[in-house]
Amino acid sequence: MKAKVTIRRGVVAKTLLWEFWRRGWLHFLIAQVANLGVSSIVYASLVRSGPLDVETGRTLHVVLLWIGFAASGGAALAAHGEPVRFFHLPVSNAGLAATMLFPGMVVVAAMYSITAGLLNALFGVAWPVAGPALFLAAALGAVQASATAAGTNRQARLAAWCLVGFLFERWLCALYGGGDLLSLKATWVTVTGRELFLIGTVVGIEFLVMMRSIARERRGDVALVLRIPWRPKRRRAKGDHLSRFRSSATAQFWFEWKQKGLILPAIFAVFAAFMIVGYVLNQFDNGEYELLHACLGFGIGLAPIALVAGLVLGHVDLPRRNADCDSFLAVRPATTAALSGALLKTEFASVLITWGFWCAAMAGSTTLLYADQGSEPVLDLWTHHGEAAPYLNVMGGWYAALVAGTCLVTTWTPLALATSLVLTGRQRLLIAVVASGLAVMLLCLMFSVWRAEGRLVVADAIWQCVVGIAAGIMTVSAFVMAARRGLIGWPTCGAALAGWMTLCGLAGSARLLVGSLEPAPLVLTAGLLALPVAPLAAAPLALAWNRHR
Amino acid sequence: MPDPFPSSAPPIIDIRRVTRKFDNNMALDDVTLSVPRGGVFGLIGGNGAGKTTLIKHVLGMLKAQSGTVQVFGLDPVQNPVGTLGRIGYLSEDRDLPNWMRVGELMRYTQAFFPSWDEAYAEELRVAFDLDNNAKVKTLSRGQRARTGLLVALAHRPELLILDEPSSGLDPVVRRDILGAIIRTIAEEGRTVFFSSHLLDEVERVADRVAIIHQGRIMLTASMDELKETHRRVTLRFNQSLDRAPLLVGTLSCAGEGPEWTYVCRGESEQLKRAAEAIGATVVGDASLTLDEIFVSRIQA
Repeated sequence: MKAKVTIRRGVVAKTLLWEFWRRGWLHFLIAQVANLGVSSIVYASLVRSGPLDVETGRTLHVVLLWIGFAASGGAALAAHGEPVRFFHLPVSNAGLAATMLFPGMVVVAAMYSITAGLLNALFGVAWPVAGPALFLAAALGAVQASATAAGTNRQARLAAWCLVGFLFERWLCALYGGGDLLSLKATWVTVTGRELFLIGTVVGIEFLVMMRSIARERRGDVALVLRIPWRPKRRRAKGDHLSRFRSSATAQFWFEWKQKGLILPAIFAVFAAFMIVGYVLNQFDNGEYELLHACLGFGIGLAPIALVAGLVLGHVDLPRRNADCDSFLAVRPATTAALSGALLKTEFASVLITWGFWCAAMAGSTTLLYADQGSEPVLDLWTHHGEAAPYLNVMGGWYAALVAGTCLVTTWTPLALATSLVLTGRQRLLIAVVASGLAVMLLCLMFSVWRAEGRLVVADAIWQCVVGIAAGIMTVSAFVMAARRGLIGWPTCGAALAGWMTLCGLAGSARLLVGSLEPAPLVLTAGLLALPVAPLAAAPLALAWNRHR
Repeated sequence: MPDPFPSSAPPIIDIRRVTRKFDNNMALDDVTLSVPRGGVFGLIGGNGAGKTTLIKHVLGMLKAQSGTVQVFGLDPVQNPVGTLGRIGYLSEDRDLPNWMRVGELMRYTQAFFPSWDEAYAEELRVAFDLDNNAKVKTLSRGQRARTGLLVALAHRPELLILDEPSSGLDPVVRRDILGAIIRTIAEEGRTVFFSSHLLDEVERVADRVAIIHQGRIMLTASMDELKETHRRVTLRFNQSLDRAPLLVGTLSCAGEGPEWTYVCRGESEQLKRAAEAIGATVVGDASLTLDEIFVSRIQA
């Protein structure tokens, strides 16, 4: 007699949703913070220059929308993972396709809506909510469906994503009245029935593609694209592998670099490719000006990018997204300082390369703009529309070095500090810091807006001294704790002191040149400049806490 | 035959009164254990008994909440280089980076161990039939275990720690490779400390064992001593009995009527005298397998 098997569809769906949420909620939180952080910093810095003109506001909105999509979409894709882990479950292909598509789409739409809602409330930027949220959901579905359709081959996936990216970029431009990404003609305020139908149709197609691809994978068939030879197989001679490392430090650097080294430069490469293609294809109204403008924007944006990158790179086992110090690394016969040092060295090299590329891009786009339009627009952009003109006037050519140096320091510091935080391997601590960071950031932004509007009067000197002294105390505490536990020695402390003094000397010289020598800003600068060296102590402390639990 | 555990030699692993709690779960409860230098030491216990937690303390991956852990006379948390440089470790979950190739993993590991024996590593690679260019993620469970074993062995460690080494190996490989490696290491005067819940394997290779149960060390003894002091004796009484009379050192007892079988702690002669004292005759006396000793000790 056959026993009747009843699958409780509701329970299965709830369970799969729960699994998705468990896998991704921390990533969602981080992505949301990153979205809000980047957008808020951009708007908070612009709010002082007065209201934005409509075109600039629209361009900014669309650019930030795509940046936000990269963060939230990445988090959603990571939470979805590969469908193969569900293949043994008694769930239909349609059920799996829905599980692998819709939760991520909802998350992306919700995250955009939260960001837009908060920015509208805080800065009055008037971002449309419903239309872009639905569009981004459909875009994520396309990314997910094309990835599953392309199979596991990286090149095939990349090609599919490029195609999807291009098509959706054109579609979004059409929804914003036509034109190019940086010169859109209208804001997409209302979603018409036709647009809604089109989005629904696209989502339907994505669902069908997903379902067919899952059915194919379940059967064990190879994706069609995988039969195409993407690259000739390199024949390896017997024993053709890595030559011997000079030391354990070199080996550990190689270990970290192979996993994490190229992530930050790759982000710049994607940005650069986008800008170069846009410039070459004449996509910008004022090509050279937009190019330099975007380069400067990227330089400012490197700090939040580095912050998010630090939260990723701090994972001890990045491929498995595991922050716990696993036994493979924990049993290396190397000191904790050496292990964390290899990671910091990797990150510094990564930052240096990215920064070098950025400097080259700045030099190139400045030269192009100067050759095309003379010095006026160049100076306008380099001095942030004249705000930093006093520095340029007294420093001359050294002003470029100040800008470049500031970019280097503001990229390195959040990257290394976020890495140190994740190196603790304590998820609860990470969540607490991220959540409180978000709260503090929002408070600071509100504080800054109120001050700009004259609604709040607090002497600058007070908060500057408080922040500066707090940063200094935290850094010194980290060094004292690390030294007392024998994690770092005098050479590291000496190097950190020398580094801090050098940075203070350079910053002080710049202030001296412009005659700005009030004590409170100096205290703030000195305190904040301790943070770039803080990871020399914080990283080994954090890893020791993770390695010896 | 020389005593493999000379009492005068300092222990290679010395754990004293170590306690470890994870939230409210007591993982190790006042554990004291000495592993002598040389020989093969088996740590046996059921799933969740605390074997891996104990090994993690030995490797310095967990810090003792109370008590002390010393390996080669050093604290592995304070001195990871001094201790881990002399240890070869194969983890239970074969924790290897998937993105590396076998050859890369060998080169990478070599950089940390000055005593790495290149010829021996190559010999092991060939014996284990591992391809230098194969990525770790493409290896089967058995190959992965062999790769882990290779990098744990190739620097000829003074102390080899294997956490559940058998999982993932098929019976033939398990018997041939593991047995050979453990014996070779032991014969060179090195020490093997390994955990397992597969007791036939422990019985085959270990010279000394410790039984851990619910975070407590229940027993530590040499394998010979363990077998001599745990017996199954069958007693015949003059009359039929409803309940078996108490025999000193009884761990379990079964039977009916005049004949009862006891699993006891104690040597044959002692048990014989004890049986006579309660008016019974020993009609059967046999040693126990490690499996039987373990089960009876845990159930008792």
